[in-house]
Amino acid sequence: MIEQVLAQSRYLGGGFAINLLISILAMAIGTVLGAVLGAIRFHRLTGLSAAARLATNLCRNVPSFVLLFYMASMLPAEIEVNGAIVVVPLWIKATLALIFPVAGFASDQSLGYLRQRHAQIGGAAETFAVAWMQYFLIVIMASATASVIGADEIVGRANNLISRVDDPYFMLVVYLYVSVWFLAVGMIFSGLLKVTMRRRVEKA
Amino acid sequence: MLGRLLPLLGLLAGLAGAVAQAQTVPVPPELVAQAPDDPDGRLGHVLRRGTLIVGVKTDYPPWGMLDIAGNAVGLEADLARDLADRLEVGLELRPVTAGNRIGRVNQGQVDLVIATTGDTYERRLQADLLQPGYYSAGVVLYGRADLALGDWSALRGRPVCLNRGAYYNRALEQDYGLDGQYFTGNRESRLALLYGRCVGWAFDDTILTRMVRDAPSDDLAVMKQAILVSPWVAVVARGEGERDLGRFVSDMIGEWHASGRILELQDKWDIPRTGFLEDKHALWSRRGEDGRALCARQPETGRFPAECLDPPPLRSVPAAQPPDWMQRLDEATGINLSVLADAYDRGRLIRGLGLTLALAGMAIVGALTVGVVLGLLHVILSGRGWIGRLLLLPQRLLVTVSRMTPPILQLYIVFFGLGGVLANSGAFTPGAFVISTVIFSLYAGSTNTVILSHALEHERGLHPDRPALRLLPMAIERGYDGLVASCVNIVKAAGMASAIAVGELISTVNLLVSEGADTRTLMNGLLLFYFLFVLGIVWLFGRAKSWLVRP
Repeated sequence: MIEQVLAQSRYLGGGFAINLLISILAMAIGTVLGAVLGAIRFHRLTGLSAAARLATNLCRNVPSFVLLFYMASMLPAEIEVNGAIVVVPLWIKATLALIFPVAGFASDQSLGYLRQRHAQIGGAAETFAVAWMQYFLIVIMASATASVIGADEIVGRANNLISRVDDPYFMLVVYLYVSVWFLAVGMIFSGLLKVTMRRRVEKA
Repeated sequence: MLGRLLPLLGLLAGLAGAVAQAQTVPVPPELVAQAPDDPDGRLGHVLRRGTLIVGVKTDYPPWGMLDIAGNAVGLEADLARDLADRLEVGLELRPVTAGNRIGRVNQGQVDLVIATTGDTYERRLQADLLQPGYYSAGVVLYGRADLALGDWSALRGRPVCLNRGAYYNRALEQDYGLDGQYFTGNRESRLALLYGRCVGWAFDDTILTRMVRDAPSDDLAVMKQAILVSPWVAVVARGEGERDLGRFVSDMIGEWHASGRILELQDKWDIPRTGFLEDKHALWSRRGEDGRALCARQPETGRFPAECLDPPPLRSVPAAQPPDWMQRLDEATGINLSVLADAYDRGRLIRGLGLTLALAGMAIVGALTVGVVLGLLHVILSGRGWIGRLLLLPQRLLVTVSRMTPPILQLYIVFFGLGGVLANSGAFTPGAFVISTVIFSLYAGSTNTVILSHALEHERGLHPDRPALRLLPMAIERGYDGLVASCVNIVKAAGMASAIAVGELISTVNLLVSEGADTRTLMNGLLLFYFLFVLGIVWLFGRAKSWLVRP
């Protein structure tokens, strides 16, 4: 049975690549948006500052799991581009849902970074990097929920495989194998984190 | 691939044994469907285009499915082909789902939908459903044979798996008192039944009867008699039903009943014969006293006689008259609260809210408990040399695995995977609420463990002579912000429990939306609720801190 599951590695790995794509895009776009919010809050730009604080609060408080359904039901399923009807892929909706919590997080972190630098406390960049990488890991974990709206990613593909074979042990093995993919990435991240932290200690 | 092959194998077997195949009979000229010479509306558009575009299902074998080459085939695809052939145009089949079929036809992306659409009161308001029905389905229970679930009254208060969005769910819950466990699709519902998460799965008799025939089992049986039966109807865009396209398709369906064409297709696709089609065939074959077909359109009115049509459709949601202020609010702001006017829906929302609060509370208490216990264990054992480190190994493993496995995957693993193995061995299987509470407690608890372990070690460095328990208050203060963040995260993540049929607020809102409640109001309301809920929790933690720090 294990060979049977391993034979699907390409299929599942392809799904995992979509998880990583969702996570990377959400982190990249969310960080840029959050950095803008954080900078506005730091410089106390009149009028804008209160709006940036509210936006940060909104992004921070609303669960990505709710946003996922929000995007799935409120955004159109198809859009018209030059007269042709194009289906909006669900992974794009999942990415949009994950951008919000990342922006809330990045807003707080970049505000902290700017304040630390302003107060001339050392290691601000490393503090930011460590928190950012920990959050990246959380976002990768959250990308697995995209399957609930039907997005094509590793958990959705695992469910697809399982539905073809009527055996609880097969299901268990598939799910455990999928979790190995996540664990492996998690290990790589915590390795990177240790290196960054050591560098921070050395600098200090 | 196997799933796609099976129906074809069935078809081959059916063809091999096709001795008693039904054959079509000639129909009187007044029942032969014909497009008018200069058709109006959409039908004119179809003829100019030279192609008929029909929306069909692809996940409902053998009515609508994909063949190996990826083409849509099945009983409904054959009906669509008949229509195109009669119009002498090409045919294009486009896949649709239960969720998008009405939207597609109204937006004009397809000319017509033939996709297992049951005739209901609500759908008649959304698009034009064509009379007469061409097929019919009701709901049956596929359930454990040993429980003797012969009739619906035996199911009162019992957990029954349901597919989200089926029109009969509400009646089953409200009138028959089932405890509905909602899953997103056929796969989840079937697995939940197989692994003992419900006593039965209530779904379309068409699919379930075939499933039992193709894979008989001693443990599971299907009810004989379907209830809440509703005809399946072809659907055209709103306004097209009374024009030439609607009239032509209606005529074709009548002709199929008279000629026995759909019975023939039932045999072709190896579907058990149904009384609905046999009755319809008998009815449409009858002649009046003047020798004309009884069901032909009446020359005076241009309509079918009432006795040849189906009875008025089911109403899946009874009409609730929203109070005046709700209607005024809707007109002024677009906020539609009519879901609150219905006592049953209001009850479901309140239950969902209660479950969300309970789940959040339990997860916070659990996560803090796990963090404190494992954090203390860490600081006590880590000072004890290699024996301590050895004893800490399982704890480190648990913390790593539960932090680095997506919680939704953990829910699936325990609920379906482990639950399935346990159910097969006859062992006790915990319920969905308990499973979610434990998983969320461990997921957030492992983050808390890391925070508290670090804080406790730090405090021990400052006060090496104090016992670990006395270091705890200072360590909690030190790691407070981190603990709050992880608890807030788990409150936000708790909605995932809906994936394993915990009926909390998010899944209740999705259920109401799928039943036709106002999407915009409910989704924005859900966002607002969570915004305030998380603010409230952060505020509570702030109060708790000032209370903790005061002495």
